[in-house]
Amino acid sequence: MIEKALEELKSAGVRVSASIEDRIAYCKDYNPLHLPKLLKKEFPALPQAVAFPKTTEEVSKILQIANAYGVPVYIFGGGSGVIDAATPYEGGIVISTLGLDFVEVDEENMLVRTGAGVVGGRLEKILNHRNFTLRHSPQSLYCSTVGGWIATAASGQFSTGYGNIENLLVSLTAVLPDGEIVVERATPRRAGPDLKRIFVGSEGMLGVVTEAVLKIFPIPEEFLTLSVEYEGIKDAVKDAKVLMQLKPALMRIFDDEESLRYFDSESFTLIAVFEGVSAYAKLKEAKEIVNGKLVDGRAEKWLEKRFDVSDISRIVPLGFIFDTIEVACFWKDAERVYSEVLKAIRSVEGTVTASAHASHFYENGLCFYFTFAGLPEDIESYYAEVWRKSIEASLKNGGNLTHHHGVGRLRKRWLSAEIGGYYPLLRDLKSVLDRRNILNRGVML
Amino acid sequence: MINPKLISRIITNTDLKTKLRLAKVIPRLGKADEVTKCMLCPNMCLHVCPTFDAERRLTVSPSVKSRLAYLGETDEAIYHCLPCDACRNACPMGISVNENLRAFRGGETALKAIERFERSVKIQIEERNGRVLYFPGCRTFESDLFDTTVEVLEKLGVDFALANVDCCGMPYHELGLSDKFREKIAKLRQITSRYEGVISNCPHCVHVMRENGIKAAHILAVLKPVRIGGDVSYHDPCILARKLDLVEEPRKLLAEMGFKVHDPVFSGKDTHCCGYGGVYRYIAPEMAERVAERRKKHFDYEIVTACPSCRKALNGKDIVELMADVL
Repeated sequence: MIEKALEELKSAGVRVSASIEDRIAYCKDYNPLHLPKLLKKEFPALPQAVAFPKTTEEVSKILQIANAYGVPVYIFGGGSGVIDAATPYEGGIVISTLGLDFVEVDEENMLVRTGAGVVGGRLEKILNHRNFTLRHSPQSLYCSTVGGWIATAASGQFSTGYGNIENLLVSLTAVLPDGEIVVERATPRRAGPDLKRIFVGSEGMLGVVTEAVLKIFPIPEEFLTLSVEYEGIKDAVKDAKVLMQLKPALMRIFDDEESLRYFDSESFTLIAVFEGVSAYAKLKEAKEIVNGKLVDGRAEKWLEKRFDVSDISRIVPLGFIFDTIEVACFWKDAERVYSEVLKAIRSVEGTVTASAHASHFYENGLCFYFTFAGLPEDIESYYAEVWRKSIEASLKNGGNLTHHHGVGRLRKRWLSAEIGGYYPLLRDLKSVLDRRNILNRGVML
Repeated sequence: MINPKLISRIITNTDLKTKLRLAKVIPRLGKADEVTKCMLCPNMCLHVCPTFDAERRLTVSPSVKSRLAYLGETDEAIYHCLPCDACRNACPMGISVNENLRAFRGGETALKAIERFERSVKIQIEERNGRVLYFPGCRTFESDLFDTTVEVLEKLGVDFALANVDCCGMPYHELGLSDKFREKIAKLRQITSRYEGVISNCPHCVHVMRENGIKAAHILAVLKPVRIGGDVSYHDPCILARKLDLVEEPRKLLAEMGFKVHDPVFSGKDTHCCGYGGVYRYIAPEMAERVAERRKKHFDYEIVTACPSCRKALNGKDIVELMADVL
């Protein structure tokens, strides 16, 4: 069946490849369990073919043909997602969105129109050259794509000041699973329900995002930093809540173990960045209102290292498994979520390190980002146990399922508990939009 | 280097069985080879890789090329690489994907590419004596820069020699044809030993010679400013900026020549390859052209550069040519 589909795609002028190199390139996302498999020269999955569309219309053609033949389709951007949403377990066709590659900067309206396949780091560089910034800065900035950001409901290091991807999104174009193209006129605001939001965090299950219009900002002239240390998480969170009144562009709290790693200090550390015309006044006030001890240079140290993920390459060949778990909670639950999730991770035999930082802040709460590394006897069972205990600890103590990495296959068993009555609605939406269930099958639901 | 206080925490918090496993593996920490380390990375240099940017498929992205090499499942993608070292420039581990992949090349694809290269090289040099050897390199001929450079060197009073030697060996090196590369370098060493040093227009040649113990300098070292003036965009050749560390020198020279120098997006050590680096255009000529076309879009003024390959790829002017116009 797939052979016929591929023939039709070729006849329609869509570039498709069944070469083993291309298939291996799209055999996995960045879920940590895939790495030990690669080391053993095993493929986590293998698509039968990869399609490289260059336009929204080509994406539509692929989906129409895949529908006609009932071929499973997986959507792939940069492949940096960690929740096993893009891995093509049933073979089929992978759509690589990377050919959807254009950037049009509208300086007057402070917008950028981009293809879904544009890589974040390159987009930011192009904007910076024109004195603009997206201020969407996930740690995966250099290897993730605009389409991937929208599909995973991504968040960046400056989200506290500028918002998450959904706050930066002005309009988008998407292709529904049956090939229908949906596009809306970009305006600062619109009437009626904002239906483009169904694609934000849909993880390729409801359609393929092919282009987007995003907000951009002038690069702020002032960029001032604050570094403060504390004896425990409670006082740091208390100050963070107060600092939110000053609208920092970026704020983070590192626990004692992460402070040790970044700053050679066993205290808890809060760092913040204030930007723009009132940055000096805000910093002055921030220094006056915090109760912790002011220290020098920690924000700068972290800023320098913030895209360095090379530890993964150093420890995974030794048999370690390494991952991160991010959850959001209200202020009142912060201390408990922090300590209970850490306790849950540490309780699993094989854990070597477990630490956390708070990475994204809101008027009413924050996101904790837990990092763990284990050297267990059996990686897969250890990994499953850490995830089970951590998510259960989070949900039990007021935390949620995910802040910005998404659901994928990794977290889907808890989704119903998280979204309650919206779960059947999501299932219905999927069955209406994707009647033959061809798109990212097995993800989320 | 792991913080000792962190080690002490790990020891305190870890169960006994895990401690025993840790004791076994810690001596191997960080000792995996670079191909393995690169393969395990999520592709943190994807945004600067010129071959990926042109081809738009993960197959030729840095980390995936390392994956394919590690798995031994490649006969094509590992050649789709430029020696620009944009990856190394962006990598906290300092890994050059191209350098690592050379060991996996040398197969049929390499032999076909070298045949195409050899057919394309047409060099005729009339020998002459002098203190330093002017080694134009094949790309200077290809860019029609040889006669111009000789004229400029003469007018600047440089005492230079010319010898009948055609290749620095770079293409053989890049394609993993190491025997042939060693042969080329041995011949070059023998000839260049007769002179005080070597000058060349080509950053590739200078780099290869230096790496192999030959005293070589880029031609910028002997150029002197002549007044011209105007607005130009300067393209940093990747080998010149990243491997020869010449970023400020060409800008200073152009400024002394009265030019207002404009930097495009991707400049200095963060420059972007023109597509004609290494042997990519003997492997995937259409893609090399695509890299060049995309790079051209980054400039607002006439493109000036200091490398014959970049000059040809970008339809720009070499600094030597600017001088020849007024000398």
